[in-house]
Amino acid sequence: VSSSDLFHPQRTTNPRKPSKHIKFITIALLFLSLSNNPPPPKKNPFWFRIPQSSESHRYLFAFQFWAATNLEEIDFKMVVGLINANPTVYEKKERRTRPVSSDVVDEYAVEPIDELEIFDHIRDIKDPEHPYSLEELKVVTEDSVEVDDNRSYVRVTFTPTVEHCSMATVIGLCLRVKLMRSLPSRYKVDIRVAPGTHATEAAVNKQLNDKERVAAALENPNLVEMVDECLAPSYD
Amino acid sequence: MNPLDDMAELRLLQTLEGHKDRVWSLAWNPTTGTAGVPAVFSSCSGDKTVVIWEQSPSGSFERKAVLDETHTRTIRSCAWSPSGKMLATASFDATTAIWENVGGDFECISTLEGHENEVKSVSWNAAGSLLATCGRDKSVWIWEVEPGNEFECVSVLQGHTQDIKMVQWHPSMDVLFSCSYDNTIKIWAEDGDDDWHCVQTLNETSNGHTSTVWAVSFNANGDRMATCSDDLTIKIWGTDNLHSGNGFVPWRHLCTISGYHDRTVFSVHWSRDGVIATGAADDAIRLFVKNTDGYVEGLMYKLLARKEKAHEMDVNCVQWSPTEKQLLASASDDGTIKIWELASRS
Repeated sequence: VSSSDLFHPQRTTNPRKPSKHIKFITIALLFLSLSNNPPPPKKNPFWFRIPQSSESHRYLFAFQFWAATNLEEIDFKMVVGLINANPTVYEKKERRTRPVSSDVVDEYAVEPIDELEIFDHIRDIKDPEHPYSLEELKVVTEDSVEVDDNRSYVRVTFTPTVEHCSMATVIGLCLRVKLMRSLPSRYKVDIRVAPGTHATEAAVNKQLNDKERVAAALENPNLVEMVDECLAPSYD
Repeated sequence: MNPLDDMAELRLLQTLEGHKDRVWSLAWNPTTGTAGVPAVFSSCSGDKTVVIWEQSPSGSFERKAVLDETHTRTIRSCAWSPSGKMLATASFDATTAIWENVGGDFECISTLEGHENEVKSVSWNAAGSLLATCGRDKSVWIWEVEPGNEFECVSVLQGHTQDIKMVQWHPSMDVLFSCSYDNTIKIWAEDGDDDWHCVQTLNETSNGHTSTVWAVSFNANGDRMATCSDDLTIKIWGTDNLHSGNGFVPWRHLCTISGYHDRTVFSVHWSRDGVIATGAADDAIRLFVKNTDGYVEGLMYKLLARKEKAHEMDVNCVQWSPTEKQLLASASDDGTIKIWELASRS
């Protein structure tokens, strides 16, 4: 992953799926161009040797060859998904209801914001690559939130699912946007990658905490769409 | 605490609400505020507009004009030409617009295109003949102002390895300073005919900043400059023999002001009277002056005043006015602009 500009991947136009016709032609051409010797193995999880004898296997090989070369062009989101096709999914923590004090309660007292409240804001954010929440993937936990309500300060430390996860900046951005929309404006928010869990940790942290970069990124409609998708509530 | 600290205070004169989003930057019109001309300043915002404010005879500032429907994204900074007749605005939409004051109305007379993405800063040279812009595409563009409101790009300067946050011309020489996300400050000068190149880089080895440098400001003489950074410090740099005529004289680090800011310092501005104002992400404004008493050895600059919670949110920009009475304007993420007066503690 190039550390230069993580909010703005190379592709800036909307990813489009190729039409069915193009898919068919590509497969057909690939199939026709195949010799008896399969191409050298690529570093792609979908590549594996297929016996040459069966015709159906040739089709399968051809599709996977196409998938390996073309999916990357079309939708970088999906490629990252392929790299971590089987994330570890944890069970959602049981939601604790706060104990109601039996003493006389001042209805107008403002409760200080604590770790659990902040965690409640971020636990259901969907991971950009998988249909699971950040909590389920243990990208964030209640312990990853540090808050000081008196100083209006919060720091969230998140753990990306893979060390080379190019989605780290998107996750960080989602966290920032959700907290920005949920917390009082007096709050100062720091977002960082858990130390030792990402290859370009310093670069990711610097971008996530540069508010000018974040502001510009949030004026990019493609990125906003991606973030909004992750932030949208899922009804399960 | 040293009894001579906090000898003065910033008194709030007025809070101006005129933007619907964070106010990123403001700039005083240099030809106003003196000789009977009411003080004027412009402010630019995430709401894609620029507001022009003018001081009324009673002393309060009022909204005079709104420049809108030109930029399609955040307007990050604005700068008046030295003649006060033109205003340049730099925007995240990758363009720089030039506005002219035509009998009280502001008209967009030119749009400078060329940057690949967000333009973050714009600066006019002392003579008003050159304009510099910079942005996230890591380049600095120099434009020549030609008759008939034409602007021609004379140079595209590469060298920074990251996003450039601000460009500022030296107050008397045609030497350009740029500060960047790559933690360095670069100095650019011309070698004969339109041949601009980097003559010095102030990085960590020159005792420079260790994180993004957000702004640079010169003192009245032009022999000192202050830079502020995400590394929570202000650094003072100096040069000797300003007008030696022997070509460019390198700048060197003089001192670092540290331990005063808790979060990123976004803005620094040096007043005519030698007071350095800073605006930071901890919502505070601080003022520093040269340490002329001998109480603390080696302490070159000391804190003159501090205004905690000057705004409800981050202070993005502080600018001293060119008026006879020194006013300070500050712009914030909370969408307001505040006008302050520096007064001695009673």
